[in-house]
Amino acid sequence: MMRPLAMILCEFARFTLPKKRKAWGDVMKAETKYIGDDRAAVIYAVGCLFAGFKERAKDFRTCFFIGHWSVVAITVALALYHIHCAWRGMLVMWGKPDPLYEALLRGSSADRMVAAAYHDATPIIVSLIFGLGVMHLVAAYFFARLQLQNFVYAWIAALLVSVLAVVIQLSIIWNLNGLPAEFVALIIQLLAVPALLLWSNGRHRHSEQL
Amino acid sequence: MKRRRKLSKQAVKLLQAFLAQRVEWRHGYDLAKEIGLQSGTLYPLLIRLTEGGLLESEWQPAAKQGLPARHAYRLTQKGLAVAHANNKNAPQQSGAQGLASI
Repeated sequence: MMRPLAMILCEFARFTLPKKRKAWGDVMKAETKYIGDDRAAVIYAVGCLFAGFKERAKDFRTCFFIGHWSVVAITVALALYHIHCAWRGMLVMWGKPDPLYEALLRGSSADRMVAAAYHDATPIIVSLIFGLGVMHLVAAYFFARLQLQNFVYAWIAALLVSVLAVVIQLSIIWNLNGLPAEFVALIIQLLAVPALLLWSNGRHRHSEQL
Repeated sequence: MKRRRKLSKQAVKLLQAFLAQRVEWRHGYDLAKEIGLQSGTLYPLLIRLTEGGLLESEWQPAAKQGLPARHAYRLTQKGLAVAHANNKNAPQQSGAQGLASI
Protein backbone atom coordinates (compact mmCIF):
# COMPACT_ATOMS: atom_id res chain seq x y z
CA MET A 1 0.00 0.00 0.00
CA MET A 2 2.86 2.37 0.89
CA ARG A 3 4.85 1.76 -2.30
CA PRO A 4 2.05 2.76 -4.72
CA LEU A 5 1.46 5.84 -2.54
CA ALA A 6 5.12 6.81 -2.93
CA MET A 7 4.83 6.39 -6.69
CA ILE A 8 1.65 8.46 -6.80
CA LEU A 9 3.39 11.22 -4.82
CA CYS A 10 6.32 11.13 -7.23
CA GLU A 11 3.96 11.36 -10.18
CA PHE A 12 2.30 14.34 -8.53
CA ALA A 13 5.75 15.88 -7.90
CA ARG A 14 6.46 15.52 -11.61
CA PHE A 15 3.13 17.19 -12.36
CA THR A 16 3.90 20.16 -10.07
CA LEU A 17 7.34 20.79 -11.56
CA PRO A 18 7.56 23.61 -14.13
CA LYS A 19 7.68 22.48 -17.77
CA LYS A 20 11.41 23.02 -18.22
CA ARG A 21 12.13 20.83 -15.17
CA LYS A 22 9.68 18.00 -15.81
CA ALA A 23 12.59 15.63 -16.49
CA TRP A 24 13.55 15.93 -12.84
CA GLY A 25 10.25 14.27 -12.00
CA ASP A 26 11.48 11.14 -13.78
CA VAL A 27 14.72 11.39 -11.79
CA MET A 28 12.79 11.50 -8.50
CA LYS A 29 10.51 8.65 -9.53
CA ALA A 30 13.41 6.42 -10.55
CA GLU A 31 15.31 7.20 -7.34
CA THR A 32 12.30 6.40 -5.17
CA LYS A 33 12.10 2.94 -6.75
CA TYR A 34 15.60 2.24 -5.44
CA ILE A 35 14.58 2.81 -1.81
CA GLY A 36 14.16 -0.56 -0.13
CA ASP A 37 12.02 0.50 2.82
CA ASP A 38 8.44 1.46 1.87
CA ARG A 39 8.05 4.01 4.65
CA ALA A 40 11.31 5.71 3.70
CA ALA A 41 10.13 5.72 0.08
CA VAL A 42 6.95 7.57 1.06
CA ILE A 43 8.92 10.12 3.12
CA TYR A 44 11.31 10.59 0.22
CA ALA A 45 8.39 11.00 -2.21
CA VAL A 46 6.77 13.61 0.06
CA GLY A 47 10.07 15.52 -0.03
CA CYS A 48 10.07 15.24 -3.82
CA LEU A 49 6.58 16.72 -3.86
CA PHE A 50 7.81 19.65 -1.75
CA ALA A 51 10.72 20.05 -4.16
CA GLY A 52 8.18 20.21 -6.99
CA PHE A 53 6.21 22.92 -5.18
CA LYS A 54 9.39 24.89 -4.45
CA GLU A 55 10.40 24.79 -8.08
CA ARG A 56 6.90 25.78 -9.14
CA ALA A 57 6.91 28.72 -6.70
CA LYS A 58 10.25 29.93 -8.09
CA ASP A 59 9.11 29.57 -11.67
CA PHE A 60 8.83 32.93 -13.39
CA ARG A 61 5.92 31.90 -15.60
CA THR A 62 3.91 30.66 -12.60
CA CYS A 63 4.56 33.82 -10.58
CA PHE A 64 3.68 36.03 -13.54
CA PHE A 65 0.54 33.98 -14.20
CA ILE A 66 -0.59 34.37 -10.57
CA GLY A 67 0.15 38.13 -10.51
CA HIS A 68 -1.45 38.73 -13.90
CA TRP A 69 -4.67 36.83 -13.18
CA SER A 70 -4.93 38.24 -9.64
CA VAL A 71 -5.09 41.76 -11.10
CA VAL A 72 -7.65 40.58 -13.67
CA ALA A 73 -9.76 38.87 -10.97
CA ILE A 74 -9.70 41.92 -8.65
CA THR A 75 -10.62 44.20 -11.55
CA VAL A 76 -13.52 41.94 -12.58
CA ALA A 77 -14.74 41.70 -8.96
CA LEU A 78 -14.74 45.50 -8.61
CA ALA A 79 -16.38 45.88 -12.03
CA LEU A 80 -19.18 43.56 -10.90
CA TYR A 81 -19.47 45.55 -7.66
CA HIS A 82 -19.97 48.78 -9.65
CA ILE A 83 -22.48 47.12 -11.98
CA HIS A 84 -24.34 45.80 -8.93
CA CYS A 85 -24.41 49.35 -7.45
CA ALA A 86 -25.71 50.68 -10.76
CA TRP A 87 -28.40 47.98 -10.78
CA ARG A 88 -29.50 49.01 -7.29
CA GLY A 89 -29.59 52.63 -8.51
CA MET A 90 -31.79 51.57 -11.42
CA LEU A 91 -34.19 49.86 -9.00
CA VAL A 92 -34.45 53.15 -7.09
CA MET A 93 -35.15 54.97 -10.34
CA TRP A 94 -37.90 52.44 -11.08
CA GLY A 95 -39.61 53.12 -7.75
CA LYS A 96 -37.82 51.11 -5.09
CA PRO A 97 -37.61 53.11 -1.81
CA ASP A 98 -34.29 54.86 -1.20
CA PRO A 99 -33.62 55.23 2.57
CA LEU A 100 -31.14 58.12 2.05
CA TYR A 101 -33.56 60.08 -0.14
CA GLU A 102 -36.42 59.53 2.30
CA ALA A 103 -34.25 60.60 5.24
CA LEU A 104 -33.28 63.78 3.41
CA LEU A 105 -36.94 64.50 2.63
CA ARG A 106 -37.77 64.24 6.33
CA GLY A 107 -35.01 66.70 7.24
CA SER A 108 -34.70 70.48 7.18
CA SER A 109 -35.39 72.67 4.16
CA ALA A 110 -31.68 72.54 3.29
CA ASP A 111 -31.87 68.74 3.39
CA ARG A 112 -34.90 68.82 1.09
CA MET A 113 -32.89 70.90 -1.41
CA VAL A 114 -30.14 68.32 -1.26
CA ALA A 115 -32.78 65.60 -1.74
CA ALA A 116 -34.04 67.33 -4.88
CA ALA A 117 -30.50 67.61 -6.31
CA TYR A 118 -29.82 64.00 -5.32
CA HIS A 119 -32.99 62.86 -7.05
CA ASP A 120 -32.18 64.82 -10.21
CA ALA A 121 -28.62 63.52 -10.35
CA THR A 122 -29.55 59.85 -9.79
CA PRO A 123 -29.85 58.90 -13.51
CA ILE A 124 -26.48 60.43 -14.42
CA ILE A 125 -24.76 58.91 -11.37
CA VAL A 126 -26.26 55.48 -12.11
CA SER A 127 -25.14 55.77 -15.75
CA LEU A 128 -21.64 56.75 -14.71
CA ILE A 129 -21.35 53.92 -12.16
CA PHE A 130 -22.59 51.45 -14.77
CA GLY A 131 -20.13 52.91 -17.29
CA LEU A 132 -17.36 52.55 -14.74
CA GLY A 133 -18.19 48.87 -14.23
CA VAL A 134 -18.17 48.30 -17.98
CA MET A 135 -14.86 50.20 -18.33
CA HIS A 136 -13.33 47.98 -15.65
CA LEU A 137 -14.55 44.88 -17.47
CA VAL A 138 -13.01 46.23 -20.68
CA ALA A 139 -9.74 46.99 -18.84
CA ALA A 140 -9.74 43.48 -17.33
CA TYR A 141 -10.30 41.98 -20.78
CA PHE A 142 -7.39 43.89 -22.33
CA PHE A 143 -5.12 43.16 -19.37
CA ALA A 144 -6.04 39.47 -19.48
CA ARG A 145 -4.89 39.44 -23.12
CA LEU A 146 -1.88 41.62 -22.20
CA GLN A 147 -2.94 44.27 -24.71
CA LEU A 148 -1.33 46.97 -22.61
CA GLN A 149 -2.01 49.96 -24.83
CA ASN A 150 -5.74 49.20 -24.94
CA PHE A 151 -5.65 48.51 -21.20
CA VAL A 152 -4.17 51.99 -20.60
CA TYR A 153 -6.91 53.59 -22.75
CA ALA A 154 -9.58 51.71 -20.76
CA TRP A 155 -7.91 52.72 -17.51
CA ILE A 156 -7.88 56.42 -18.53
CA ALA A 157 -11.54 56.20 -19.59
CA ALA A 158 -12.41 54.60 -16.24
CA LEU A 159 -10.46 57.35 -14.43
CA LEU A 160 -12.40 60.08 -16.25
CA VAL A 161 -15.73 58.39 -15.50
CA SER A 162 -14.72 57.97 -11.84
CA VAL A 163 -13.66 61.60 -11.47
CA LEU A 164 -16.91 62.79 -13.03
CA ALA A 165 -19.02 60.50 -10.82
CA VAL A 166 -17.21 61.54 -7.64
CA VAL A 167 -17.33 65.27 -8.50
CA ILE A 168 -21.08 65.11 -9.13
CA GLN A 169 -21.69 63.19 -5.90
CA LEU A 170 -19.52 65.59 -3.88
CA SER A 171 -21.30 68.59 -5.40
CA ILE A 172 -24.56 67.26 -3.93
CA ILE A 173 -23.40 65.85 -0.62
CA TRP A 174 -19.91 66.81 0.54
CA ASN A 175 -19.06 63.66 2.40
CA LEU A 176 -15.53 62.45 1.77
CA ASN A 177 -14.75 59.71 4.27
CA GLY A 178 -11.59 58.12 2.95
CA LEU A 179 -11.04 56.95 -0.61
CA PRO A 180 -14.17 56.92 -2.80
CA ALA A 181 -15.02 53.36 -3.96
CA GLU A 182 -14.78 54.51 -7.58
CA PHE A 183 -11.00 54.87 -7.28
CA VAL A 184 -10.20 51.58 -5.53
CA ALA A 185 -9.81 49.44 -8.66
CA LEU A 186 -7.93 52.24 -10.45
CA ILE A 187 -5.41 52.58 -7.63
CA ILE A 188 -4.92 48.79 -7.40
CA GLN A 189 -4.25 48.70 -11.15
CA LEU A 190 -2.02 51.78 -10.99
CA LEU A 191 0.19 50.07 -8.41
CA ALA A 192 -0.05 46.41 -9.39
CA VAL A 193 0.27 46.58 -13.18
CA PRO A 194 3.52 48.62 -13.37
CA ALA A 195 4.96 46.59 -10.46
CA LEU A 196 4.17 43.33 -12.26
CA LEU A 197 5.59 44.58 -15.56
CA LEU A 198 8.76 46.00 -13.94
CA TRP A 199 9.31 42.76 -12.04
CA SER A 200 8.76 40.72 -15.20
CA ASN A 201 11.15 42.95 -17.16
CA GLY A 202 13.77 42.66 -14.40
CA ARG A 203 13.48 38.86 -14.40
CA HIS A 204 13.87 38.77 -18.19
CA ARG A 205 16.99 40.93 -18.04
CA HIS A 206 18.38 38.82 -15.20
CA SER A 207 17.83 35.60 -17.14
CA GLU A 208 19.46 37.11 -20.24
CA GLN A 209 22.54 38.01 -18.19
CA LEU A 210 23.01 34.44 -16.94
CA MET B 1 29.04 41.55 -14.76
CA LYS B 2 27.66 38.38 -13.24
CA ARG B 3 26.24 38.45 -9.76
CA ARG B 4 27.91 36.20 -7.23
CA ARG B 5 25.70 34.65 -4.60
CA LYS B 6 26.97 32.99 -1.49
CA LEU B 7 26.22 29.30 -1.32
CA SER B 8 23.71 28.12 1.25
CA LYS B 9 24.82 25.87 4.12
CA GLN B 10 23.04 22.94 2.54
CA ALA B 11 24.73 23.53 -0.82
CA VAL B 12 28.14 23.64 0.87
CA LYS B 13 27.31 20.44 2.75
CA LEU B 14 26.28 18.77 -0.49
CA LEU B 15 29.45 19.89 -2.27
CA GLN B 16 31.54 18.57 0.63
CA ALA B 17 29.81 15.20 0.26
CA PHE B 18 30.72 15.19 -3.43
CA LEU B 19 34.24 16.35 -2.62
CA ALA B 20 34.74 13.44 -0.22
CA GLN B 21 34.25 10.99 -3.11
CA ARG B 22 35.05 13.25 -6.01
CA VAL B 23 35.43 10.69 -8.78
CA GLU B 24 32.48 8.50 -7.92
CA TRP B 25 29.01 8.92 -9.30
CA ARG B 26 26.56 9.59 -6.47
CA HIS B 27 22.81 9.00 -6.23
CA GLY B 28 20.11 11.21 -4.77
CA TYR B 29 18.87 8.96 -1.98
CA ASP B 30 22.39 8.04 -0.83
CA LEU B 31 23.33 11.72 -0.71
CA ALA B 32 20.16 12.57 1.23
CA LYS B 33 20.94 9.87 3.80
CA GLU B 34 24.62 10.79 4.05
CA ILE B 35 24.19 14.48 4.67
CA GLY B 36 20.81 14.33 6.37
CA LEU B 37 18.97 16.44 3.81
CA GLN B 38 15.33 15.91 2.95
CA SER B 39 14.62 15.25 -0.70
CA GLY B 40 12.60 18.48 -0.72
CA THR B 41 15.84 20.39 -0.12
CA LEU B 42 18.16 18.07 -2.01
CA TYR B 43 16.51 18.18 -5.42
CA PRO B 44 16.26 21.97 -5.76
CA LEU B 45 19.99 22.03 -4.91
CA LEU B 46 20.84 19.28 -7.38
CA ILE B 47 18.85 21.09 -10.05
CA ARG B 48 20.67 24.36 -9.44
CA LEU B 49 24.13 22.85 -9.12
CA THR B 50 23.62 20.84 -12.30
CA GLU B 51 22.25 23.82 -14.23
CA GLY B 52 25.07 25.97 -12.84
CA GLY B 53 27.62 23.54 -14.28
CA LEU B 54 28.97 22.44 -10.90
CA LEU B 55 27.63 18.92 -11.23
CA GLU B 56 27.40 16.62 -14.19
CA SER B 57 24.70 14.01 -14.32
CA GLU B 58 23.94 10.90 -16.29
CA TRP B 59 21.42 8.10 -16.42
CA GLN B 60 23.05 4.85 -15.40
CA PRO B 61 21.66 1.48 -16.41
CA ALA B 62 19.55 -0.37 -13.86
CA ALA B 63 21.51 -2.17 -11.17
CA LYS B 64 18.91 -4.96 -10.90
CA GLN B 65 16.33 -6.33 -13.24
CA GLY B 66 12.94 -4.70 -12.80
CA LEU B 67 14.39 -1.40 -11.65
CA PRO B 68 14.62 1.69 -13.85
CA ALA B 69 17.77 3.51 -14.95
CA ARG B 70 19.14 5.67 -12.15
CA HIS B 71 20.29 9.27 -12.26
CA ALA B 72 23.78 9.89 -10.92
CA TYR B 73 25.85 12.99 -10.25
CA ARG B 74 29.45 13.99 -9.75
CA LEU B 75 31.45 17.19 -9.54
CA THR B 76 32.69 18.95 -12.65
CA GLN B 77 36.01 20.84 -12.68
CA LYS B 78 34.11 24.02 -11.92
CA GLY B 79 32.24 22.28 -9.12
CA LEU B 80 35.48 20.94 -7.73
CA ALA B 81 36.94 24.45 -7.61
CA VAL B 82 33.83 25.82 -5.88
CA ALA B 83 33.77 22.89 -3.44
CA HIS B 84 37.44 23.48 -2.60
CA ALA B 85 36.86 27.19 -2.17
CA ASN B 86 34.01 26.49 0.24
CA ASN B 87 35.75 23.68 2.08
CA LYS B 88 35.75 24.55 5.78
CA ASN B 89 38.56 22.07 6.48
CA ALA B 90 40.81 23.76 3.91
CA PRO B 91 42.68 27.00 4.71
CA GLN B 92 40.33 29.98 4.29
CA GLN B 93 40.65 31.70 0.92
CA SER B 94 39.82 35.32 0.57
CA GLY B 95 36.40 35.87 -0.98
CA ALA B 96 34.91 32.37 -0.87
CA GLN B 97 33.69 31.46 -4.29
CA GLY B 98 29.99 31.39 -4.89
CA LEU B 99 27.78 30.55 -7.76
CA ALA B 100 27.27 33.01 -10.53
CA SER B 101 24.27 31.31 -11.95
CA ILE B 102 22.47 29.87 -8.94
